[in-house]
Amino acid sequence: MLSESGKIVARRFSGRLVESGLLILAVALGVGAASSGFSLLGNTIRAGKEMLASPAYRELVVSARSNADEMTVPAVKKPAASNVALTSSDLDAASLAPAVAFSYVQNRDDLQFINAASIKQEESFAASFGAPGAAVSASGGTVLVTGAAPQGASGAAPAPAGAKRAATDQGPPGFRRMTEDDLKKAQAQADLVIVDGMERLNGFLVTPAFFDAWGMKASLGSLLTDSDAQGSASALVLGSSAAAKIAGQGKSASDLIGKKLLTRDGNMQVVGVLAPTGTTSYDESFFAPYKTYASTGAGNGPPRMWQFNTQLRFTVSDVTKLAETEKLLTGWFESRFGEGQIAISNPRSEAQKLIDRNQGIGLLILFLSLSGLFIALVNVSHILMSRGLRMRKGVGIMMALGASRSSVLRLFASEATAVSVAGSLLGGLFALPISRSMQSALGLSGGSWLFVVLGIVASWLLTLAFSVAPAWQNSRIVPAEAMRVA
Amino acid sequence: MITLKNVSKEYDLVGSTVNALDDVSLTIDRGEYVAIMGPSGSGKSTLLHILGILDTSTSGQYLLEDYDITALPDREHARIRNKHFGFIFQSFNLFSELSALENVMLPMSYAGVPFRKRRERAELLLGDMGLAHRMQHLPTMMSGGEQQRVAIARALANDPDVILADEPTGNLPSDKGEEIMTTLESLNENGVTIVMVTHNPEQGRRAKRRVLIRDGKLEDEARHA
Ligand SMILES: Nc1ncnc2c1ncn2[C@@H]1O[C@H](COP(=O)(O)OP(=O)(O)OP(=O)(O)O)[C@@H](O)[C@H]1O
Ligand SMILES: [Mg+2]
Repeated sequence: MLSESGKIVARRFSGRLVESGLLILAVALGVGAASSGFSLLGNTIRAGKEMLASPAYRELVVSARSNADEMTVPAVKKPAASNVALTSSDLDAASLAPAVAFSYVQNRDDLQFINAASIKQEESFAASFGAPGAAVSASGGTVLVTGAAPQGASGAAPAPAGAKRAATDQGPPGFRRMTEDDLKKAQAQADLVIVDGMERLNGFLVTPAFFDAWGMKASLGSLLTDSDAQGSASALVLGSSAAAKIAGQGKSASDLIGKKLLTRDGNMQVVGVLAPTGTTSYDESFFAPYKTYASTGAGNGPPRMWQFNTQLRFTVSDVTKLAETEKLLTGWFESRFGEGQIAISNPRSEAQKLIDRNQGIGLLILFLSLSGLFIALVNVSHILMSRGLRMRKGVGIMMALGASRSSVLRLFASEATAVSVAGSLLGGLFALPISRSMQSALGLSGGSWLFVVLGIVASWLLTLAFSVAPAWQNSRIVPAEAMRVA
Repeated sequence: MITLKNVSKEYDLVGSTVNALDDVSLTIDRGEYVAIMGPSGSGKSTLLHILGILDTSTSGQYLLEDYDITALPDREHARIRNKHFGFIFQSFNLFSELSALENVMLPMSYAGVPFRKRRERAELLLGDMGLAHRMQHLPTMMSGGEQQRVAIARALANDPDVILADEPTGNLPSDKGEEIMTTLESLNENGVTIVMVTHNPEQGRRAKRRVLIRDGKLEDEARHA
């Protein structure tokens, strides 16, 4: 319930709707702009920090030159500049650079599952175009080309996962095909999992140090070991989301441990499931051992296609040592492969440039939006002051009737608070979508609302200061003088 | 009850000072009916404002019940104005945003009177002023005489000791002015002290005591029973 003096102020306020609306709108625009600017800068700084905290930005990535070029100029496919093929034995370079904490191989790869849908698709493809490869069976048009028979699928030595690209490039060998009958037989095997409803799974071929570098832990089973990389068995570790998806709804991922997944590259035995990593792309991936084949390494016959794609990653313990380590590694690889054959990239320095640019933009936008808020507040303050002047005589009368200065201050401060709160809330409505779109313009994802809220609170406080000042001025008048005003 | 001792009020203007009040000493006792008279610009309103603590003097002492209130904080001054003084102005000075009833309730809200009680009392006071049918009216819908009667009801809201009136009939036709005068006189008969600034010699004669002021100086006094 408003007191009578509260009613005076409230009725004056609503009696001048246009002016009062403009007041609130001015505050809203100022607060909206300033809090968006604040949130943009805050999120830019946060995103930058988070980004650089990732192990990916404590790394140097070494690859053969031609691949590096392709990565930066994806549209232009250059002929391979060299015959250099990196292998995991080149990770030895790490011994030269003391700052390197982990060194590993991480190559992209994918698994194609064999299931009812894939067989059906293949059959219809074969029916219209004829089965690819040399062997075409007269009956169903499907042929099993791997050495292993489908009946022996569980025990079959699968094609080395790392050799898959070579296989697809060179034709049928290693590329397993099955008929519906084969699938039925496979279904009967208890330790074999047919992954239905999923065509393929993206993942990585890694050396075991990969898990250490990223601090990944197994929540079920175990991680890959060096013996997985050397042996002929094909082990597989699944990211947490990938495991859940393969296990299917309502089933536990722990049921997968020890089972084999039916894929075109053979049967892959699930040895472990990762605890959630916080990185979606890893949670949705599989990890298979990057195999070291002495027989195909450099110096042992022509390297296979997939070896050109091998990327070696060196994680430093101290990011300030990145440049120094880069120099050491460059020396090592140049002496081994010759100048210009190997590209070493430093993702952190690239990221740092992007972050600096974004923060510069954020700072500029904050400056502009604060200027906007300031201009809005000067006007708000001005309007409130001229209201105060019009109210002077009224304040004098209130004081004559018994209002103290502090009660007058409270009265007008409440009005100022109401205006600033209403304006700030409205400004918040502007700020939420604006800051979201500004962030996406800078390519920042996962912005925190905390910064918008902090920005709104901060600019609200500033608004309050600007609007309480006229209220304070109103309370300083001498009633006798105020009442002489006609 | 109120004693002014050697009170002066100076206004600093560019290059000169105006002595609105010049060494004024004056005592007003409880129950008095004082008319302050004098030419325009002589300092009558200034004196009334100082009496009502709406203004502070440049020098001199203000004693309320023998107690010097000059140095009290603003909050105390406000409380004294609220509880002990009622003001009536030439131009009524009602709040146009408030109804007659709310205007009368206003001083009681500063005294912390709860809503129901202040509405009851305001209704009573307006009834006494013959305005029972005007309570919900805004000042702009009322005649000058009616507005001044609302102002008197407002001045009486907290049952003051002193009514300070600055030319209360100045804006009214003579018959309406007469109504106001009789109201003030009957208040005085009921023990309320009245201090009234007036230009009207007839009104001055009706007061029990006349104070003449000229160029800020107290010049002459006349009393009658
Ligand atoms: N704020 C001020 N600054 C300067 N001079 C002032 C101020 N207020 C009043 N005065 C001067 O003080 C003197 C007394 O003024 P005051 O209003 O008390 O006169 P008054 O007797 O009430 O006149 P009136 O009969 O016209 O109402 C005048 O000369 C006036 O000009
Ligand atoms: Mg006057």
